[in-house]
Amino acid sequence: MTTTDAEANVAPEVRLFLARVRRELADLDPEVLSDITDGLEADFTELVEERGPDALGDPVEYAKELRAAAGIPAGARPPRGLAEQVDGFLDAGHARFDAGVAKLGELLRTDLRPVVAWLRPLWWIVRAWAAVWLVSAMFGWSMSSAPAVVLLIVAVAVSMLIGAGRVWPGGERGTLARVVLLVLNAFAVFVLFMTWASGGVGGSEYDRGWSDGFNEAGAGGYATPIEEQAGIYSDGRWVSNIYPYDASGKPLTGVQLFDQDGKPIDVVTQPDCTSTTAAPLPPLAVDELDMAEVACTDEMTGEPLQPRIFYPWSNGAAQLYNVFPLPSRVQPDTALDPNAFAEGAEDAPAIQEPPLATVPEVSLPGVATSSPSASPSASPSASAGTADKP
Amino acid sequence: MDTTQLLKGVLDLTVLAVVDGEDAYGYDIVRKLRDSGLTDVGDASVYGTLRRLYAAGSLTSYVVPSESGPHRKYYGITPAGQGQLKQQREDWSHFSTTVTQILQGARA
Repeated sequence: MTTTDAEANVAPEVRLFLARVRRELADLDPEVLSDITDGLEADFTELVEERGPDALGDPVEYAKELRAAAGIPAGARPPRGLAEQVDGFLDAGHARFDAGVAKLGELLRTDLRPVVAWLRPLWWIVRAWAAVWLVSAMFGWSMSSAPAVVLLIVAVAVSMLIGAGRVWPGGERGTLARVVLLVLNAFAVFVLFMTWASGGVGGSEYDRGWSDGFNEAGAGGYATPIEEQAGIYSDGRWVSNIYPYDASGKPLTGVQLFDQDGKPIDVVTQPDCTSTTAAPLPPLAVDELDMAEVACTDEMTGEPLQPRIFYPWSNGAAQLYNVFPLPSRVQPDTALDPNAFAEGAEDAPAIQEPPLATVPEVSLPGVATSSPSASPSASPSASAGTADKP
Repeated sequence: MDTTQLLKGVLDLTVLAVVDGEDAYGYDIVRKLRDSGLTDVGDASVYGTLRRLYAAGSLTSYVVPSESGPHRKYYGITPAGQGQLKQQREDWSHFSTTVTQILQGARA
């Protein structure tokens, strides 16, 4: 007869009582616990037969008495509810993490705690990004689309507030809040893993498809003029060239653009198939076509198209792609022709006609606008925009 | 008077004395103690005492499988337990005699 069969003969109230007693003694070494409670089923069964179920009494009191008589210190770990057990589990996990960080810090001979503290806000941003990525994936939005960007701003704010303990479940020391927070964070890690696994970090599907096409175009061994991918998007659409106008609304040529860090703004991503598609080009002669790299094809017909290639401005020392508008020409291949601007060249790259001949005059109160025709320091009043100066 | 405090002091001694006669399981010991007049003895106190004496090496234990139900855990006395019993028996005898004499003197 096996133990299981034997235990089947134990009355339910005895089993329940013993289970409670064992739970009260759960802090004991398993060996000690089995030592102290083994065989009690048989004895309690006899006790109940003799004196009735009420003789069992209170399991908590029983355990206390058992402990005292056995000389086991009581309250080594006081009886706890589920919430306290979960809390204890989380605390233990936290302590283990802290110990791990301390140990790693010892190995690296640096205190890593400030690093961890600094990484926390970073994580708050990353998890917000993960949440927005998930929502965008569900609605089919691009991460650079307007709703996704708005959502991201809101999500980062909420995530920060939670992280700083201002919004539930952040800051709360309640067990439920802690568990919810843990689950959310774990889910964010899972989502990030999914984005990584699906290669979604590179951008929207459109971006990916485009850059795949670009890579394929450049993979034929032909020189790709621009090593790094560049690009600016405006309202979700790719910007291939910039046409500046002065305050009086006249188109400007040779405007050098720099960003807030003084870095040249380079919008060019070669080859520009977008404008090619927009304005279909005369097809090449068949013998030329065989020689040419097919960089662009018509999206509708699949016909090969000649790409539009942007040529740089020059300051004598370097080629500059941050001077606008950029000259360009349509050519069979994607390589820059060093002799394109040579004297007598028939199809030298040219600045395309600006999309708008003129735009309305603009002004800003108290700001003297500059114009290429007048030096602002020499004669600011000569500038077109200064008429509005109060 | 509350005999619980008194019981605590003599529980080791009485449990050893019960087991010294013949091996017994926990509830058997409880019953014998009660039948002998220690009606206030708590079950858990006896089991705890058994565990402590066993841990100290005064008792041995073995399991007897049962045909009809869960197995029983029997306790037997060890030579060390017998030595302890002899010593405590003398201590108790001396102690109780002293207490009895004091009580008789107080009444006289």
